[in-house]
Amino acid sequence: MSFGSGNFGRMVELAGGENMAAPFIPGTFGTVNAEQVIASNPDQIIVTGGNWEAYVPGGAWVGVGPGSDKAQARAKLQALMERPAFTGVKAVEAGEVHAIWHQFYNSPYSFVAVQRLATWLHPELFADLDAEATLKELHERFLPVDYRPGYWVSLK
Amino acid sequence: MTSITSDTAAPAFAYRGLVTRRIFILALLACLLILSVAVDVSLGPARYSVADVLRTLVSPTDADVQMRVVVWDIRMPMAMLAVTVGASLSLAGAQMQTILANPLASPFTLGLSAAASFGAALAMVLGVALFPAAISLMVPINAFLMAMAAALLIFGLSTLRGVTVETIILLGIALVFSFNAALALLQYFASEQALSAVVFWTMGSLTKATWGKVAVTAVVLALCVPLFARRAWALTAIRLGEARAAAMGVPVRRLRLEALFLVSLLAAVPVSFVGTIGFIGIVGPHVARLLLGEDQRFFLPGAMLAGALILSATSVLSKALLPGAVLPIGIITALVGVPFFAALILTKGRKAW
Repeated sequence: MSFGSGNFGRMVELAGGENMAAPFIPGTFGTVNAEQVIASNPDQIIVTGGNWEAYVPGGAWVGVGPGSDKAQARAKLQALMERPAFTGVKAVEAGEVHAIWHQFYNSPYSFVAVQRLATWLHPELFADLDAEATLKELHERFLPVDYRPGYWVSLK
Repeated sequence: MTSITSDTAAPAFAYRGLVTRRIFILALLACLLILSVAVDVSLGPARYSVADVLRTLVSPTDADVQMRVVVWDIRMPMAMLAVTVGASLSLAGAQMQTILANPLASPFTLGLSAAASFGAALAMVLGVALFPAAISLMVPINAFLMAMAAALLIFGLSTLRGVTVETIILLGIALVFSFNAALALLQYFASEQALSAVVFWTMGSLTKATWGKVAVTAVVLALCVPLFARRAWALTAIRLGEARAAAMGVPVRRLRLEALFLVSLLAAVPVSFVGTIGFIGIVGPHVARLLLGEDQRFFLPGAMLAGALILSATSVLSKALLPGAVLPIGIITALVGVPFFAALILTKGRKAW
């Protein structure tokens, strides 16, 4: 299941990325042929995840989110990359594989996700941008809860 | 004396001709199926040449890793699953039509698919696992258990006294409506993501094909086919009418229960893997019947070949129509299959059922 032009697909475009699934998925969601991932050979792979223990206990989800266990999330992300569709893909070889909290899609803080996507996609261009600092400051200035890291992990 | 021999020779000759013709049709269907699978395996967004694909198939170890994965782990399981699922659903539909003496009977009209969809949605929307031990297979296992529960309900009710084939079909239709309502209720409460997962599931898809699923569906087929083949004559006789079959010594009731059980298994397993792929269970058997007649010796393999061929050809289309993405296969089976099916029924002069 992948995003077309909507949801995280739109956030990737905002961050200056090119969503490999966009040409193939007419709506918000769709299924990309597994083989297309090999054919498109993307530079970056970004998956969304969250702690879905309540829905799929022990499932293949990457449990990123506030206060997540990053080591475990990274191990699960690594395991996902073992799937046939990712064999020999540029992004996997280079370790440009990331997971981000899925709930950003439906949150006023989605701009933080866009910042994070932008720094993954164009690290030189956004060298001065720190999404983590943004989110931390947001918590300190406006929110009654403390900031807990763990909203994203990368394999590199 | 001479007139008697010529009288018996003519029908014998005609019968031999008929058998030869039917064997020829079966062979033709088999050839078409092989061709369709070959096209299915050589087609895909990673544009490899036919020669490269062939080389990878023959000697996988020599091929480039990506090509080997594409051909052996992505394309082949999908192509093979189309064959096993098509054959299973079509065989299930064929024997349902036979034992229920109704041309509309199929895994769908009896509520098995609706039950499977509901089971899958339970997993996708509420995260309810009916069999908590195998959590990674929660969706297919839920679907399978629900479909089997629906089948066993029908099975149980049909053992009651005075239950006729019409009653079984009406019960099936009642199940379709109940499970569809329950599914709609789940969808009403589902999150955006879960809702689209459910919708995609109910459209049917071969994209989650793995060799494991191919093996499971193949084993179920391999178990059921000999059991049906052993009963071929009895099942042919039942199409002459229950009373006549009973007069010939066919244990109609027992045969119907046995067949109903096998059919449930044949339908529930593939549906739980690929979701709702409508139409094959109805059309496969009808195509076979139009081409080959009711004789189970030909009808049984014919229905399996026809179903496998339809689904395999559809799999090719689903990749060709929307390159890169995979158009849910359930959409195409009906859209492309129905006009073909209508043409077949209308052009065939004699009564089809």
